[in-house]
Amino acid sequence: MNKNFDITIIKAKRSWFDLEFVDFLKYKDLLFLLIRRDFVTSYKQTILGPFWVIAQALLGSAIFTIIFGKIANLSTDGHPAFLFYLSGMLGWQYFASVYGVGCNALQSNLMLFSKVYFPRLIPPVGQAIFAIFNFLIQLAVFFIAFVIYQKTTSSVLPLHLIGLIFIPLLLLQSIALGLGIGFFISALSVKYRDLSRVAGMATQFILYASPVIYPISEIPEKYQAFMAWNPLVFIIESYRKILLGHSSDITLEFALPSVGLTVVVFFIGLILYNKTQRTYVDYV
Amino acid sequence: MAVIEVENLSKHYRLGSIGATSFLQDFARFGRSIGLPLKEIKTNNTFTALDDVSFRVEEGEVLGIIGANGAGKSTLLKILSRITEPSSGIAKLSGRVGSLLEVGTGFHGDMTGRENVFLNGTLYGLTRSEIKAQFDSIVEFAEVEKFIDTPVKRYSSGMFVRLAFSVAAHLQPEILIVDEVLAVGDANFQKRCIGKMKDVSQSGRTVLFVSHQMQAVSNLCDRAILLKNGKIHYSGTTDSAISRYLEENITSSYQKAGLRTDRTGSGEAKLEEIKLIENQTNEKKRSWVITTQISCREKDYPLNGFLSLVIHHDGTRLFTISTMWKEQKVPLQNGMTLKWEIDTSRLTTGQYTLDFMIQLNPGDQPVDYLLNCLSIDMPDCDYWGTGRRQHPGLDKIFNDFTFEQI
Repeated sequence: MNKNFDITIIKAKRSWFDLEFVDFLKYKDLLFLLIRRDFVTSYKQTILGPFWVIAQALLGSAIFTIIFGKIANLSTDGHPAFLFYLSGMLGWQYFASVYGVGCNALQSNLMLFSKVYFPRLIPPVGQAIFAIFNFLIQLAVFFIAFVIYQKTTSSVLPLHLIGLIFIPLLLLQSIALGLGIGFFISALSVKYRDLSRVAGMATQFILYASPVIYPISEIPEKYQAFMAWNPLVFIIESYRKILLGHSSDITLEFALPSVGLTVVVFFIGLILYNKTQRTYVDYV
Repeated sequence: MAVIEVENLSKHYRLGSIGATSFLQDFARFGRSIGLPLKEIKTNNTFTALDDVSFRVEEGEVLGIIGANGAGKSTLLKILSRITEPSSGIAKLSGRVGSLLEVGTGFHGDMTGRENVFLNGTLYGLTRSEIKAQFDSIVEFAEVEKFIDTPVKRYSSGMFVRLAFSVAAHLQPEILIVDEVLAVGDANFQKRCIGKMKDVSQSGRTVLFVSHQMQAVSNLCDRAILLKNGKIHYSGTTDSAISRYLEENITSSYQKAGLRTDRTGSGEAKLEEIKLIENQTNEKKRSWVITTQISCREKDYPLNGFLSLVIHHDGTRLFTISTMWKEQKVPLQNGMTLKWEIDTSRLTTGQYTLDFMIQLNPGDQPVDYLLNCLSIDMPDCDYWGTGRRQHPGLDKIFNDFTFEQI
């Protein structure tokens, strides 16, 4: 081994902005192996494996189609209801799983964090990356359904392949937003566990505050300004525009407030998370 | 060159439950930090786990850290391993730090031995190529070649521990911090672990070693620090630190037996006071020093008799010592005090109780007979020096033996 003289200074009350990014890069092999561990272990001892992800996507959209489309008769902006909900669920479920990872980041990794030092950002980032796998399965399900609709009906616009290049950017924004809010909750619920209850309720609230089961065009004009304060509106609407043939509708004007807000939320969450992880094993 | 420099390190813990009051305190602290004139809510319920600790460790040195439970050893290691932060003070570590607070951290039962080695190694900060270079020697040391591609949940506990320790033993950081991990595994493997750690230190690396096994500490360490109530109580050679530790952790027991009324016997004389001091010169040589003082009814004077002590272990009568065995009567008079010394090296761990008896002649009804005068907890000991425990709670004594192949 090369004799590298890293010097570690351990002291109290380090800066809130000491975010240990350098260490993060040193541990990139760990990030890779943790993602691989999730792959290896998540479908162990299940017979159908990734099929459950497909079943969940199909069943969820089918239920929405029946309840909100057929019974409540909510508008789907002229798109086939099943594809409308499937595309909405795609963005929502990825965000929700990353948010869940963030909310439990300190709690679910206690066994590791209390025994060995490594950058505390690695496990949640690894889990967020692993969740992309489920996202891709759902995306494949969407495309199959899309092709079926295209062949059998004339109600689907052709897909702009060029729009698909925005998907990785939207995933990145979902990670930043989901982990940002999640870290905030995880950090504060170390001392005040009441917050983990709030986190569960918040999921429901965010779902209905975002255009997953309804199109943004259904919201009266005067309330749409409020909706702009929810960064998730942009994310979910964008997936839908990309997948249902309106990708040219995504404008910078539409993107900037959402991305800006996401960056702010992410850094607040990250700073609080990082500050909390330094001593949280003393409290839990 | 000092590789580890610790200066005035302290750690305070807030005691008590977390609730509305602590919420208000947090809120007020936050308010003050942004300049609001809020008053500090004073509470006294803090616990100081580490109190102004300073020391230096030179390159290539093996430093032992010993102390009773709660002395601050774990807190110190947690801070140096960056698991938690100190409340004040500073520590400077020059070089890569490998800290081993547990073996098998991050092991997942569904993954194979090979996968776990890589995951565990990267957790300790190695890169995949560094692990690959050492992989064969890790597997060989753990003796699990045949099972390396089997999920570790099918491993025996011995195999699991061997593999986990083997990864750790191959970390090769410049500074190795080890906490109590040798308490696992069989004696043979423990010996090899100590050997491995000796190799580590001889290759110029620095080791901080915490253990309750004094044998292992004295085998491995050049120097030791004795912690007591969060402070450095003694710092010096390993042997003097260990004997200091053993000296200060003696248990003593005392009973004002004269006041007890639940006694039988004719009553011409009775036990007034009994006191026991546990005397431990080293891991293997232990004894009890017992002093017994009796009183006597004036009118019965002068009388001579035999004094006996009966030792019970976990409810079983184990043995009796008596002046009778040596055919010596002692005078039964006021204030007469006997000092007994019993070799207890061969007693195993557990609870012992003592009965006391005075007789005038062998086979007579007792003059004074008192049950349960004292009760003593015998600590665990490494009688064979191998770390191997005889069946605790089942075996009552250690017995020396020899064997040879014929």
